[in-house]
Amino acid sequence: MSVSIYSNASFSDTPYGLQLRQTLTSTGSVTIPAGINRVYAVCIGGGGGGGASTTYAGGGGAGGFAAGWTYISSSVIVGAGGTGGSLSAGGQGGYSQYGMVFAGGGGGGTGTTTATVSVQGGAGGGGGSNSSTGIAGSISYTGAPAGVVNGGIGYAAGGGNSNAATGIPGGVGISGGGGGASSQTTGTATGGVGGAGFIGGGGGSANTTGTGTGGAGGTGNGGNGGTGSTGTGTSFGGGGGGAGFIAAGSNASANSGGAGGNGGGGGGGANNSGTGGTGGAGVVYLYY
Amino acid sequence: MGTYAIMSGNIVSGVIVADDPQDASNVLGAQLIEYTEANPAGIGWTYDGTTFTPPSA
Repeated sequence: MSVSIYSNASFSDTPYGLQLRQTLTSTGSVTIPAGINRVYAVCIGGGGGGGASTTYAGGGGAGGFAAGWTYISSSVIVGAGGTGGSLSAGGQGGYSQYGMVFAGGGGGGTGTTTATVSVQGGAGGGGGSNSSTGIAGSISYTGAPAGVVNGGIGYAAGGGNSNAATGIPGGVGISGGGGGASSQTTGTATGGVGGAGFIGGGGGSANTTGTGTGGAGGTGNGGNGGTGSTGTGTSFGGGGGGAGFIAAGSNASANSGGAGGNGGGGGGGANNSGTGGTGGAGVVYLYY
Repeated sequence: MGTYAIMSGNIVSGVIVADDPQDASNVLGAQLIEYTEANPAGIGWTYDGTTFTPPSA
């Protein structure tokens, strides 16, 4: 006698007979109905903010993604997106947590200052700028190793380095790395695109007296990354925001980076003293 | 919905979103300070009671 799990009504929903019951976008108390002792939680950390400097800067990394079973908890933490840089690195995104499921925030894009490497939870690293290389991703909730610097593919990918004509793209992964900036100051320059994934990284910027185009944000579950700003001269060249798990990334505006999409998208990098894009806020889903 | 810095002394140890900051503060067992685009904050920044300041390098 054979048995198919697919004919069992208990398994007709996804995943494994569970239904999405709560979408949590705010830190605070959580109420779980009596009789429910374990839930399947999906946590997404806040995206990293895009970097900024007087010249060029990298995009922010995507927020971490973690999913698994956990005993119920009466509270949840939802991370904010990292602040976009203002003549500084972008801020690291905040972590999200429910029970024992934990997702770290995305690393900020490097700018005038060097961004802080995310050390936990699996967020993608920010892209390089004139002050430093990009930064690595971090080890994920599942234990998958971090994506290395300069666009390393990984569960949590690494950020791209800056590079002459075209910045190095952010690594592709579950959480995409931030794109590196173009360091070319004359002629045609293009920022590196943000890494694609469930959650996209932000694009790096360009800063040239010629034709400059910011890197597009990485695509993600929420849609496309934002487009980079393009035009002649250093008033253009901001990088697009990466798509979040929920929403698409925002387009760059002039020399400022676009915001990351809701659900952990990385912010775009800025150029010529613009402002880096803010990372997308995190989110937590509960299935039971 | 606002954005709040989780304070560890005068250092920002985390950033969150919250509808009810008192509830969030109780859950975290930590002091929260709201930040905005006009007065931004980030992890590792310091707070002097009025303004957040990023690390110098």
